[in-house]
Amino acid sequence: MDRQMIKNLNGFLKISLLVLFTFVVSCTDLTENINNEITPENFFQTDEEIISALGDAYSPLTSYGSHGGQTALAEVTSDEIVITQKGADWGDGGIWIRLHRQKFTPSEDEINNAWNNFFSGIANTNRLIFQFKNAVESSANISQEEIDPFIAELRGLRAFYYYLVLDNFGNAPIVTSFEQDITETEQPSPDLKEGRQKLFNFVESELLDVLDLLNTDVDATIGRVNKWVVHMTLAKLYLNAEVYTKTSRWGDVVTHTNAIIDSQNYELMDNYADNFTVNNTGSPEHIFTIPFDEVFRTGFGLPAQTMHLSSQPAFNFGFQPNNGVQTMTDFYESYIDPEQNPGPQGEVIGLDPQGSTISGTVDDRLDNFLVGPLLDLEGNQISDPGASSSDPNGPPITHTPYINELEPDGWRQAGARIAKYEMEIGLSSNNMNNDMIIFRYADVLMMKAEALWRLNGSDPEALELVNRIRERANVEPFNTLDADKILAERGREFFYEMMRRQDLIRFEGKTGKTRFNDAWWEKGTSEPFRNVFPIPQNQLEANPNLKQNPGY
Amino acid sequence: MLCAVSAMAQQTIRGTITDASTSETLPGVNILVKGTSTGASTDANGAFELTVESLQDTLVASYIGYQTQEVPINGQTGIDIELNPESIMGEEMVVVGYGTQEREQITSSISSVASEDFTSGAVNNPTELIQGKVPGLIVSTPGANPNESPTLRLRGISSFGNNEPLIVVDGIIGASMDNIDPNDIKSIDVMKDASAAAIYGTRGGAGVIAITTKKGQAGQTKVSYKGDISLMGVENKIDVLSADQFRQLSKTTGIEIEDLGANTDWFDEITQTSYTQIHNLSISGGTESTTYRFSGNFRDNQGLLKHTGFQQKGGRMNINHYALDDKLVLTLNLSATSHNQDVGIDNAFRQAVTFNPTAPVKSEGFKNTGGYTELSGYQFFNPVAILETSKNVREFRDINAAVKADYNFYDLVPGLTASGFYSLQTFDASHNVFYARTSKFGGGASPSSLGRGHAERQTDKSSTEQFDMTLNYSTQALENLGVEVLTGYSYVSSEYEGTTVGGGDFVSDETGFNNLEFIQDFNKGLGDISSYKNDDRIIAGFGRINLDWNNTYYLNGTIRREGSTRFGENNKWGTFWSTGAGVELMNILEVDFINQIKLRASYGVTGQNAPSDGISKLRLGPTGYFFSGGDFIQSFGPVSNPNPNLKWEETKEYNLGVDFALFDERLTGTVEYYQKNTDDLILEMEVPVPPNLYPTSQLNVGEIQSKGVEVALAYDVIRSTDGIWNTGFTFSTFNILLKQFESDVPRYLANVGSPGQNNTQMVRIRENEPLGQIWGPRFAKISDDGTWRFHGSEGGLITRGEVSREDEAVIGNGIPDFELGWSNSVRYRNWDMSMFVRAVYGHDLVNSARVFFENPINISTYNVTTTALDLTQLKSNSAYSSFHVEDATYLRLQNLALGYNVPMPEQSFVSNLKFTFSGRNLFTLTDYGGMDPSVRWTDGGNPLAIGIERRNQWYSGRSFSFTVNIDF
Repeated sequence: MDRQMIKNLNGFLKISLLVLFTFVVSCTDLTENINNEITPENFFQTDEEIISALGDAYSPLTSYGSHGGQTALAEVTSDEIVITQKGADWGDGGIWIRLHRQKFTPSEDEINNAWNNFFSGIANTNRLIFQFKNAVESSANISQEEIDPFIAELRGLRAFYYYLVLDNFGNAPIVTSFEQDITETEQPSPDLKEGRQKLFNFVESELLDVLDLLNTDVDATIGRVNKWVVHMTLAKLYLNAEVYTKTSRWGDVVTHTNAIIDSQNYELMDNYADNFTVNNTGSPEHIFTIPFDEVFRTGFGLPAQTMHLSSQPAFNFGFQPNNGVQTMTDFYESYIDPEQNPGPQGEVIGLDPQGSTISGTVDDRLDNFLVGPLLDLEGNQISDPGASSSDPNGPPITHTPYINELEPDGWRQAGARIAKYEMEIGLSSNNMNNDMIIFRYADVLMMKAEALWRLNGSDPEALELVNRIRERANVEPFNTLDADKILAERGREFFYEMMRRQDLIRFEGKTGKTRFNDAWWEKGTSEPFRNVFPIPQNQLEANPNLKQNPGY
Repeated sequence: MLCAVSAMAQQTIRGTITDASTSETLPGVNILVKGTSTGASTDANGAFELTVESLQDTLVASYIGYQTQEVPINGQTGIDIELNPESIMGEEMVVVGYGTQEREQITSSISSVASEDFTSGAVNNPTELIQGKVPGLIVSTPGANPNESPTLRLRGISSFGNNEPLIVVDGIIGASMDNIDPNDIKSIDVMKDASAAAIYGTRGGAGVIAITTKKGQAGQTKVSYKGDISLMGVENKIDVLSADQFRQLSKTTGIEIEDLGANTDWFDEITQTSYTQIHNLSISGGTESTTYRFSGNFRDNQGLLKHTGFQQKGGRMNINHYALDDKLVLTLNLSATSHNQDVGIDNAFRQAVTFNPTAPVKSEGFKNTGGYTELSGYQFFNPVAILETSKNVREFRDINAAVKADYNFYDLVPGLTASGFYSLQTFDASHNVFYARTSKFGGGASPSSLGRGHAERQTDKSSTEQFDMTLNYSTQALENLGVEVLTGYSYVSSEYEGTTVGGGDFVSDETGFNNLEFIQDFNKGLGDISSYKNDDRIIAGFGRINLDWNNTYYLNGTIRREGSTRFGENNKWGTFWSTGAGVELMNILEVDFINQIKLRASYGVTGQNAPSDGISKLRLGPTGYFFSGGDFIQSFGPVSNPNPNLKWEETKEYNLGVDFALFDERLTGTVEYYQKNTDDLILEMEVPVPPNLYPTSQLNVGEIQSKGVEVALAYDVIRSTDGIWNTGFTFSTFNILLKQFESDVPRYLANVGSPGQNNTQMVRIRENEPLGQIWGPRFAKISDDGTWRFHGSEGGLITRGEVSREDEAVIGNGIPDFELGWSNSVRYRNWDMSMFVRAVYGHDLVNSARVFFENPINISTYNVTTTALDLTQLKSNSAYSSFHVEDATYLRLQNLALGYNVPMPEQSFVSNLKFTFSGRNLFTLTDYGGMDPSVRWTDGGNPLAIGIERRNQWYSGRSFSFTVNIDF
């Protein structure tokens, strides 16, 4: 190389160094800014932030308000509620038909949704317990004494979610630490029976552990886990202990229902329907509720789920309903049939395709349903020009308890509609203001009654308790109790309160192993393995440790 | 020793170097004695002085932008050299990352289209200019929605996220195509393979489209005007029953209909023949130290759908200034565009199919719905009412500014140039929507009551700053070896923010979305308000080396080290690199009829940035409200899972190509084969909730492999002074495989939709299967009882209720086998003609309109397509199956243009006058029965759901344009 070339290269190198220098001093900082959300390092600085964070543990409960998840699992699989396929509507790949006929598979979205709801509740409680403990260590503002009640509340809530997992899926991983590795999450046993027993033991011991650490003030804890919610969950656990573990625990049911009764915090409301009004917050009968609200805690979507496509003018709704969930005809009959439900006789809507008025028992709890002609606010019958020509009622809409068929062409107006929660006139979006009930006092009485009856078939207090419920509904008291009567009374009282599947499984069946397995309209006898749901396919794929429940 | 000997014979040579066309002196020209590294450069006056060993040597004069010239000394001591500008010699320069390169030297896959080959007529988007002209690039514009940008796919799919190529406009990386008027574009270069795109690092994964705008030239001021008037009509629509056919079908089938007495053609009611005008005026010129070009554009475009269209005004300014003896070149580019769009509501198309044809548009008793007839039924809306009781408008402005300074160190180090580049892109948009209280569609009205109405205002703005520094050194290192080295640093910082406010319940519709105080929802705590802000940065250092041996052997290499804020803590930085080699065989061999055969091979690694900000971190956000102590308080919870290992998607691609020219360059062409593998694809995956906090995580899963063959041929059929005829073909094949996924469990995407088929999916993706698979039940027949029968997995026929996943199968593929383009351009004296035909072969589409709307039993509720007349035996509900998947192979006469250049006298004030008459989408040959057989690359933004035509598809349009070009 000659001088010129070297000179050139020299110059190039010098200038390169200059550029390199600029490059080095230039910005190479790649710290990411998060502007829209908060990162955990910047949270839990104040009491308000702690309480605000707590809310996230409860938010998975809002899924109770949709027609999927818990409603699909507890109600659509039962003899209370059905979603017929109405021509082009509600086919949805056949899921509602499969749930009704109990032919569900591990791939059903709604089963996976329910699993995800329960476990996001569990994950959130675990995360908050972890974060609260850290906050005490790292912050001078928060003391251990302040944080302990919150942690007890979270453990109680976590046990409640696990009670739902136990009831629906039987055998699922017990996760109590936020930092647990996925490879460590497995069911307590590969065997359903053994795993379910261990899960039961876990729920029981957690609930008993936190019982005396929790708040007892009912008014300050609306919608939150207090001592009475824990007693109630324990009572439910023991009520179904025989299903879960093969060992009955009726005496423990009595103990924990008594604890609630003796506290004198709760009482039956005079009027059944008052429990379900738009402004039902703080009813003395409510034990555990989801305080829904049109603005703040949205998601209680019953109106769109159940009301007719053309029902907007009936309630001046600001949205068009979807015409989905309906009441099973035979279930409706259990209210008006004087044999099953003795009481004052009067005019009720009958079971024929026209929905004619007949004579039957007038139970106050018929308010649970919307049947008969659908009227607008001025009292004119609303019309549906698109009504099926085979429908004898034609375009004027009449909701009949009669349902013509499950699929494919269920009439649009067939089936009693669910009007248990008061429909608010002028509701602007499909988000009710009514609080949705998880536990209420009537169930305390009914559970105690059942437990006493199970221990002694002629226990007089059992009969008295059931009759208190019947009395409030203004129907005649029973003279004796039997399994059919107790189950039917629970049905009438707790319709659409997300407990029908559990109740059916607890009673011995006629054609099947349990009442849940029995045949009913458009459903054959199902195998006993249907009494727990399959572990969802998505979960099996995501976590290879999981074992599918037998039969699926 | 040699030096000592030769020194004795040294001679000094002096001379001046000038521009051959303008005779201006050229400073900074590099002069070398051929075969040595002895050299000099010209001074400010273009003069040079050089010592040579022998007066029999040859001088080599080279200068950027000029053709390199060899001049034998031939014993003289005074030599003046004239250099020819490169463009005059026809040397093709290709835009590569951060610079240009001669076409000869390119070893990667870059296709270039110059303005003379652009699609003519009313073109609104720059990519339409090159639709079908670049093998491997599919530009898909289904339907004639004037406010929808085309979908671009370069060599198929290389990401689960963004698959749109990176757009670079005059050096601005990631520029918006909305801010360039097609008339201002000089050329478009498409960097197709990873080797070409690697210099753009994490943003080059889907390829790069580099757009170069027109510049001014020194000399006389030139004024050009182009005006264009177009008319567009519906090319294709869905045929539905007329009111009479509707009544007739009711009679023959006995199915009751709701006969409201009128005869309404809803398509006619919602469409119009649209009228579009485009005007472009440009002024360019300059002096030897400053050149400029200014242009202004105006377009007023009506849509086929009534009440839709847009107005656009834009301006662009390019200024180049030469200073300090031309050592310093300053460039300024400014562009601004303002768009006002009437977006309309696509759902009108869907409703026009189904709305009862016996219903009058308006009738008595519908005061609450604005007089428009509205029927009961879920999601049925009067199509005219949808459009006329609502407003959906979008306005946005793009402003880009870029400055560049190039400094040529010819006096210190010949061949060395340093550049600094800064650009600022700003974007402001507002999107406003209003539904009147009389609107059933969005305002909640029903015949019995007024609705609540809805008004919404959304504003978005973003800005991006880019700063690049580059250093370029080119030299003839050895007699036969040319070396070009580039190093650089790049910094890009972006910010995005926006606000949305909306609600309903007004007393009066009068103020629309202008005064949100009319929204009573806010007073009740209802209504929606949200806002966001995001920012991210990309920082990179890069380098490139090009070696050229004797203009015969070429070797290229690039490297880029890049970091992005969007990746996880452990993976902020990545390295992307490429290499390529080429050989020009005709410099080695001698074959009479072959002018050029260049073989080239390249390999490169590019990336794809993460789809959005913050996705590698655990973030907490509002999760609703929580009732505590008698009051609702906002609750917070995780909205993401942390993934500190999240990294870029990485594409590795090799490309083999041959460029050739035969028969005196009459036949030229390129054949290429590529294979690219993208792995670490980022997808939001469902994860188990214990131990995760949030049910989905952004994970690096999966690998996609694409391969294909691309051919481009051009042949001069006639070459004479009176006329020419050139014909060209492009051909590309596609083969896209999902090579790896998180497991081999299949996933199903793309729900058929409401009503009734919300949990029925149409697309399956699975490891080791091709992408684009349309999935579903296999239709067998309609049985005697009028219900569907499908093929079961075990051979028999099964009913709809019996179909399970095992019975379903692949029933189509949405990705074409190949695409073919055929262009012709003919010039005879003052006339010219061009024609462009495009064919796409082998893809299928789900015809969603048929899935839902060809069922005769539905006439009880709504209207159906005419295909229902052949299906009168059907008595069962609509059910998606292979029955609705159609072959969408098509051939389309996309463009036909005839132009006449009016002869102008020599001294005329007008130097050039040309009239052009052109048509677009003149006809389409296809068996597809839906609206538009174009490939559907995305479904609602999901790049994995390919091949679905939805019910609210716009019709395709056919347009005729008249264009005038005048140059002064």
